[in-house]
Amino acid sequence: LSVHDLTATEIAAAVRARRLAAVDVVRACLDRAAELDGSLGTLVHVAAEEALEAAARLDRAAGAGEPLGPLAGVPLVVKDNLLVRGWPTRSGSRILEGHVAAGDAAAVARARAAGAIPFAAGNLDEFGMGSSGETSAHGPTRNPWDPERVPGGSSSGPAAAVAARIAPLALGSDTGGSVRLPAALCGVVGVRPTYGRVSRRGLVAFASSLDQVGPIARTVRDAAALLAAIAGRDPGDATSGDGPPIPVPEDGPLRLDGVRLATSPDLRPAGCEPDVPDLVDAALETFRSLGAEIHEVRLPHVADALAAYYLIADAEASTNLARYDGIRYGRTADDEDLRARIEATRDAGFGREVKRRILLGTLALSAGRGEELYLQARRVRVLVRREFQAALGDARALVGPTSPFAAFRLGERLEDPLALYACDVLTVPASLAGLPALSVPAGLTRDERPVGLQLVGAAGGESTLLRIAAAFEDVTGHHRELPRGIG
Amino acid sequence: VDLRLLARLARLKVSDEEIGPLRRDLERVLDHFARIAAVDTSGVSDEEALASSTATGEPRADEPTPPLPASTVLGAAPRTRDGYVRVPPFLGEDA
Repeated sequence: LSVHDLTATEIAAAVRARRLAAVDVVRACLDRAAELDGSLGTLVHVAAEEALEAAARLDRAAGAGEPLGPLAGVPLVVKDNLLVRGWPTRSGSRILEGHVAAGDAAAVARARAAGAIPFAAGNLDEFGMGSSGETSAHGPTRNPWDPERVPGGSSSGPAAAVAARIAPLALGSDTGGSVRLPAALCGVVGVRPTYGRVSRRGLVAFASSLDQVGPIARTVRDAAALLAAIAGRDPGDATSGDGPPIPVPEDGPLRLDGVRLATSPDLRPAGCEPDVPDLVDAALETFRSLGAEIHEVRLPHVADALAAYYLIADAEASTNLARYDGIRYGRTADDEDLRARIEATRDAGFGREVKRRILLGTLALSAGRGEELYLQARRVRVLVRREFQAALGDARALVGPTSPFAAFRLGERLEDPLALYACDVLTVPASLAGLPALSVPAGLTRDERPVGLQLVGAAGGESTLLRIAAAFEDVTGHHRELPRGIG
Repeated sequence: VDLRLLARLARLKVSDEEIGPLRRDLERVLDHFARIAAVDTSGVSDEEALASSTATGEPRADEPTPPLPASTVLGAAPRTRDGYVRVPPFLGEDA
């Protein structure tokens, strides 16, 4: 058995018991990154020396009998929009070229405190704006299942690195689906926590009423362990708060007797790839066999959620990204006129998709259009939230596909913003509603591309979602399916 | 869509070559998003729509904590001089 076959929880247990040296674990991940990353583009920075030193410190502490955390010795990939002290955090953008993080993001600091070892920064769509992993200034990430296809975005590198077993665990961020979507397309687990469950201090802001930090892992229990480590109130993020504890689900197989789940035809939009609803139907059958009761609900406003999401997210992005002016961060242009300097810096620094979003967001907030666009989007957001809350009053989780389609070819949707935005149609409702949601592998299409099953829960319902997902994972074993050629 | 005005408001320089494709993209997206105008939102007050409904935490205690060292903050800025961030002249600017 090699290190890459071990889950994060198995690694931590072995390191704590001194059956495995953290240094060997980190070295194994570094070796694998060196072997595979050149062709996949998952990582944008590798901190080999620093990670090996952290691992050596941990091994010495283990040797001295000091208590070690629940993630002791687990190598971690951190999405490049989360600050890691001393790393060149760029959020996938040219505009942050030369920027070095002054400290750790709250989630990174908490993962470290639990024993995890950040060893590499993961690629991402620029500022988290993309659904395919193709808009990064570092170049696209490729899907380990098929390098001609996208891994999904925007946490493309973290998800693909976990799928390729370069790392057992990763931290991502999810604004409209950026953890769940790449998790689905790469065949791994991704969790978006309840809004406020995890601090965003040190997360490069995209849309502040939507951004959340979440774990990506090969198993539900690994994701639970990382989420438990990073969750909780942080004075550095006024929207963060404490919630119910997040226990790692006990060893299976678990039963779901009497657990009420809901599904909806509104979660199967036109344009779904045919294998997707088939695999979701199979998943519903699995839940029934575990004892769950499934009923159908209608969610008519899901169809309006995408427009509301993009108007709100882009409005917030247009203001959040105003800080990149060539004065405070990163790179700057040479002009000696202020406006010319700002415009030239932003012209050279932002990619096409980021410009599109800033323009749409500026329009949505502009005098004359703000009422019909931004305010109406905010009203629709309330309707979506009410609808989901009502459905979840009578069910522990809403079950459906994470994405209407499995991984598509690189370039296939990149030039058409609407085709790209359509990827998010099933993930944005939970974002708008502030609810926790996760994606768990639901099996493969006939041509062997992973499909994700999404579970959306009530606010604070992470532990329920994780338990339901763990029961599903135990009985299906879909998480054990590995990309061909990545042995 | 007056793309040049929008670009000016957003402090984006848009070249003559970019302006056509960007306007086309934006108009397509807006056409599609226009569907939300037809949603019956009469049951949602503006107050509820604009409430910070997603904030969950309490403000932190108003106690002084050590700030980032000045050298760290200055280190992030591309142009500095004598312990200050250097900016182009801006007084009198209509920006």
